[in-house]
Amino acid sequence: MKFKFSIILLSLFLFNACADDFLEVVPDNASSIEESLATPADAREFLNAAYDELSSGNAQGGLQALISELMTDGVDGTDINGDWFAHYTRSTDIFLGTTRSMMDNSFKAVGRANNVLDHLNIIEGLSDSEAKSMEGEVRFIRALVHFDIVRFFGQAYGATSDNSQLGIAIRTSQNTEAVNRSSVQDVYNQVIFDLEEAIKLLPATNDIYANSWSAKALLAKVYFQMNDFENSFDYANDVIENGPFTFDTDFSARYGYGVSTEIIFGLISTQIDSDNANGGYRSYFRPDPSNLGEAAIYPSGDIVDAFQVEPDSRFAAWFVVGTNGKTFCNKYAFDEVYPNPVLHLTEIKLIRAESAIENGNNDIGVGDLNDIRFRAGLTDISPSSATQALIQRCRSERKKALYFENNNMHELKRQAVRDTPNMLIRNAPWDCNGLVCQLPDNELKGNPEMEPNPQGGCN
Amino acid sequence: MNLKKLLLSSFFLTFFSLPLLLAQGSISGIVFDETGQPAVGANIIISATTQGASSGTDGSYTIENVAPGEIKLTVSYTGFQDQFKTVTVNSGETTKVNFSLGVDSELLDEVIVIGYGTQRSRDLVGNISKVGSEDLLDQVGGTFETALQGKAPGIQITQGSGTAGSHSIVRIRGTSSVSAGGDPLYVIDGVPVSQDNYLLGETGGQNNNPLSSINPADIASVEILKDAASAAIYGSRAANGVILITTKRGKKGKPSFNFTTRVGLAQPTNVVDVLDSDEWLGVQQEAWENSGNVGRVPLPNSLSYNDIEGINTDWIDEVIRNGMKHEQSLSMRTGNKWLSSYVGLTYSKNESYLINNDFERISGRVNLDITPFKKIKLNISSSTVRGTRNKTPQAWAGGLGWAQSTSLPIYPIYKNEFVSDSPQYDESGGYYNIYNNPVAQVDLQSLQTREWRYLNSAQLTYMPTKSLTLSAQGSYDFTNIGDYTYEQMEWTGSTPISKASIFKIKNKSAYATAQYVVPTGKDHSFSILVGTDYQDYNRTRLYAEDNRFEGQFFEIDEYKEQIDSLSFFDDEGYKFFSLFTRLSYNYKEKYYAQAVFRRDASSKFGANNRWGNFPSLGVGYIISEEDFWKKGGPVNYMKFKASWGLTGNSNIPWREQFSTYAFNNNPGTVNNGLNYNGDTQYQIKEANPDLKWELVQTIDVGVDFGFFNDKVTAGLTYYHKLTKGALLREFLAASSGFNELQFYRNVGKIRNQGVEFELSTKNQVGKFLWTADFNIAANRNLVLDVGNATPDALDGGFGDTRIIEGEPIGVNYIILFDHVDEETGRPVYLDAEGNETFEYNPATNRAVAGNIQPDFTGGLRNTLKYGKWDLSFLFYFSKGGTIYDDAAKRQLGVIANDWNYTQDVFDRWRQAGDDATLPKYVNSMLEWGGSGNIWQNNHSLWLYDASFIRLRNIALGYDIKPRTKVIRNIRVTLSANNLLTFTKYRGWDPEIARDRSQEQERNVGGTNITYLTPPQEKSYVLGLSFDF
Repeated sequence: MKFKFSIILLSLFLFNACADDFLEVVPDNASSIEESLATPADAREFLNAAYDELSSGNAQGGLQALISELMTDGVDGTDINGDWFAHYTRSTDIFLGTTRSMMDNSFKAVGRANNVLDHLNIIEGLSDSEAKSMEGEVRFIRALVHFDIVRFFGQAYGATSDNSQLGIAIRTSQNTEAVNRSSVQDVYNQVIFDLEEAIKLLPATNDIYANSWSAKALLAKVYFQMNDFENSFDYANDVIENGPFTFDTDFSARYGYGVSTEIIFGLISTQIDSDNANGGYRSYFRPDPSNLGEAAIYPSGDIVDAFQVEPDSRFAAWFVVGTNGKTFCNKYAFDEVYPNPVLHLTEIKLIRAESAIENGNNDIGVGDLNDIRFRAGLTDISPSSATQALIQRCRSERKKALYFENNNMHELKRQAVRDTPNMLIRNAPWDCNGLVCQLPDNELKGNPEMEPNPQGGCN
Repeated sequence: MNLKKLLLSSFFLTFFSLPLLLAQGSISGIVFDETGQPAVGANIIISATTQGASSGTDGSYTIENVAPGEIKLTVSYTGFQDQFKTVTVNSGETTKVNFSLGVDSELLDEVIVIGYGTQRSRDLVGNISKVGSEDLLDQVGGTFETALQGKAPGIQITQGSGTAGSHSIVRIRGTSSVSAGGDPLYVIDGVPVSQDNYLLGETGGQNNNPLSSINPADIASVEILKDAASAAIYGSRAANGVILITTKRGKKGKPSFNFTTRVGLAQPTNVVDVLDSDEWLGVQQEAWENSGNVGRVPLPNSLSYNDIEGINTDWIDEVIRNGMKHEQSLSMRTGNKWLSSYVGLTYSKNESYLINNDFERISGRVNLDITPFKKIKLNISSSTVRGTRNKTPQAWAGGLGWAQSTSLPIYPIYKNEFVSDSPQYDESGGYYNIYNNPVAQVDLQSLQTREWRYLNSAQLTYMPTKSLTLSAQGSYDFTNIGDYTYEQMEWTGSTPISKASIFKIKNKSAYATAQYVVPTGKDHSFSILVGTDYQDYNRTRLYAEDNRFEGQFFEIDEYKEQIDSLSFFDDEGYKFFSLFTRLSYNYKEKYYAQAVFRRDASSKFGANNRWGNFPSLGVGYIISEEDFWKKGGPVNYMKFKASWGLTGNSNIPWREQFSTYAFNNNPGTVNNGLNYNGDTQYQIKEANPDLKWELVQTIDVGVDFGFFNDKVTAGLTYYHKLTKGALLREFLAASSGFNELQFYRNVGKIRNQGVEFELSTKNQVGKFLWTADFNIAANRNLVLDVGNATPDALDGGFGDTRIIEGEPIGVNYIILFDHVDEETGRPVYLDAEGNETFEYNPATNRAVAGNIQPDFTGGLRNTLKYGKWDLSFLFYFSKGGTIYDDAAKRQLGVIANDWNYTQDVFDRWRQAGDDATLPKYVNSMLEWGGSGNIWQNNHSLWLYDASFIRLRNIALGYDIKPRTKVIRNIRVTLSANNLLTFTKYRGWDPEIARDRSQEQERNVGGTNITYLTPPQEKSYVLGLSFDF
């Protein structure tokens, strides 16, 4: 009996790891990168997912524009509360839903794009031209995100002489490594490098995706933010003169479906489960019928006044008095499923205008400026005005034309660096700590070495 | 009664009755219970016949017409072990046979259920606490685990809250996990049962309690395996302890019935006062002026002062009530040579003190023990439970939560309460402001969970020889949970909508064991058990909503074809396969040794770590059995125990080891909004093939005593539990770009060590009986290693608890509030260096301000009996730890016009020189040094001592013992639960288990963190029980 038992025991415990296949329970969505990213069509789907994330309300879809106005002089502060009030009072801390979402959704786009670039070599049947184009798209997407995010979480380019102030983590591949913050200079260097590469890699037309013109337009914007007017002029000029885009005759066209001819890079709205690329824009500013017809955000008096200086046809089109007697901004259509015009000719013309004037080429600059003014029903201005006055014209036109387009805060800081070191933004020094958003906990908590921003100093 | 005594008494009886051999005889005697009181209704049966008798009210019995000769008698009595006596009956004579059930041998001979078998209490080398059936019925329609509170050392039970059928948090010997589940393994009659606390997600204080579908009335005993020696037989699932539930089975003898009916009344243990309209307006006005404004403070919702004239709604009064409970339970036990059966039927309806919240349970159980042949036994256990829970959202989601927060006293319930010239006035009534109106919520939104649970098992045992037992069991544990919502048009603002979520859980398991008692001669006893075990768990989910089912919940299964919006979810599942052995040895019932080895494989573990080994070793030494031990001395029993072992915790999400992807064309998956100019795909997270169980090493040493012939028994235990490779849910930075930023790694190290002490005394025996049971346990919990994780990566959800190296699990990691500045009334905080500051900066200035772990917990129960009367009362206590009131930042904090405040708000700074608890009332958190976000106001001002003592249960009973043959006994009981609570905490109730949506939050911030969490229930119960 004893003997038998020993045999049973022995045989049971010899049962080992090679016999455990029957234990497998594999979830439906388990896969490997080799399986998932096997064909060029898969790669396209991975990149689609990156654009999809870019189009989120928290990435390019409106939140950045909202914060840019909240933290400066763009909105009326009464009745604002919660996270928005923290932005309004320039007192953001690490626990804000807004900054968490902005960081999360924006970098998901980067991660998804980088994943394709990391694994381009495993995709079978990918032609050289497809590979080049895809790499260009990845570089464009990550340049766009890094440029936008560093402007919220680091002091502006030029705030220190060597731009050694802390920027954000640079992500050029999707991996689980902890990455510390780079200096603002390093982030801009990476953005410029990626865009220069993208310009070489991307074709001039590329379905609805980023093409070489997208990269050039973004690079113009980057150089302009850096007050590098030589480069910003060159790239803006290239896009305007050589690109296939034509300036809309109707200033509202770029917020309509399929009617704009000036969109250089846009994000499409697919209408599947309200998956639209402009969700944030529409929901923040537009009056919500379910909320007693009130909007979530009202423009500040400064903004309303800016449109009153001259009789401006945009005022009647964009501003409406609501049921509660307050004026709200009607710039973004409520029901329309229109693409989100991330980069467009209006902004590129504004860049070329101011860059040209800065470079002493008033004729080109004023020409662009008058194109925009003419469209808004304003009279032409003369190129013979004083340079400083022309620059001010450019800036005031920009403030109006790009209202609620993620322009205001970054532009004011650029101007401060350029020529207004004592600038106050709604009573706070332009470079006070609170005018930079605190990093959210979802960026800090994965890495004990990541440094938060200093807070306060604006009130 | 031990073997020796049994043999002895049989010997004497046999000897003295030997010479008498004539026609028919009879047997009579008295049956006493363990306290020396007559045992009423015990069944005395002549073995292998149906001949027998029941004892009467004085415990006496007589069996007539007994054939002379050697007779084997069996006495069975509910709640006691069967006893056997062999007597000789002589013709024409009456043989007197008295039985004393369990007297002075209960400690040693009590049968304890262990994994895959039973042992006598004296043979245990592991640490097991047993709670009997009579202790599980404190509450009407309750769940069994809440009844364990205070009754066994080292088992910390935090009751869910006063909501009906809510779940408790059960921790055995502290919390040894961070991100993996901390709950013990529950095994019912050998079946590891499913226990998904988060099926329905965080539903506003209404988490699902999988244990509520177990009927406490059917339970015979609950054994809690605490150390590795006892639990290692369950291997990778045993690290949090194992709770073995054994249901009642048939007893030999004529059918005996019990019918019990109980009624009860529920109230909250405490009601916190919030402000009335005048007080609220006063606070608003003061803050308004303090913040530099003039005039009257504007009212919310565009209300004017004229509109609200005379309105003063007591919202709390509108959402609470006296809850009524009742329970009817009928059970039958019987048995003969071939078949024993237990049949139990129970219906209960349990209303909580919250309006529209109740739990109804219909439960049926049939347990059959069939012995077709001498060597074969078949045990069938089958139960069906129907649970129906009507829910009212709580905390942040509504109900009592809203009533004390966003439902302002200046808001009316109905629009016709406004003054008639108000533009808000509406003669026809209609609810005002429905999303802050809990009365409207109850009326316009119906929420119900309906559950069917079938738990069936069959065990076949074959004993080819006296020393070999082969056993196999198969079981099927099936649960169908439907969660239903119906919302009326007024609530949705568009069409009425019906929502249904259906979960089907199929939990199949089987095991086989062989136990062999090795023939080793009379002094040595050696047995060996080997076995194998398999479990296959699968869960499916369907969800649908539809607007065509006006006024009703709808069943997806019935309308599948008609529903357009049917959502499928991935099946979830896991499997376990195990091999195990247990070797038990003792020498002269004096020296004991037991070794256990289990080898587990599970689908949950990564490919590189599929199999785990879990050994344990235990030794015992009953020194009082030694010859040198002074018999008759004060210490009649003394046993030393020591054990070491490794157990695992595999309570981790089942798909964690895999790299997962999202893609459009994934059938059966909901991937809304994934399209972008065609299909999309992306990686959700990376694979972790190294993922495995947490390993817990437990060392346990203890000593058990019996003094004065077991008048006093005591046990003292020290344990040391070290969790290695603790699963930590670490975080990737958002900028890493993965969709899933959290991932699990086996990197943590946690230590729990503690002391448990229990003492039972029989202070008075005889007609007046007084016993006392006391237990206390102190656990010290320390996180030794967290890898690279930052405090914020290891959080406990809302409420600011964190895991920090060198601190216990669940520290309150917040800004330290120091005092209110006497000059300005501003709050003064401490910065990272401990200097006073006005700045509220969580990025740099947070520190450990307290922790959720109690220093010690325990219970004291006294039981008094006099004649037919008995009285028992149980105190439960918990000392140490801190409560963080996460809603205090709004109920006492910066004043905004969208919340109500509690009465404590009046202790605030008003003018220079005031020494106040709360800072100056202002309208903006900026004035308290923080951000513009009023919710970012977490600091130690909202931290409170969590200690409390509670009269957990008090019960008065009376046995009527009628003089009729039909009804053996009628028992009347009057009892109360949570009648008194002694605490310094200013909130609702110091015993807090907050609703959470996943395991880490439950471990790190499940207890002692409150956010408008409903208080516990105070209940009064009247019971009537008939034995017949």
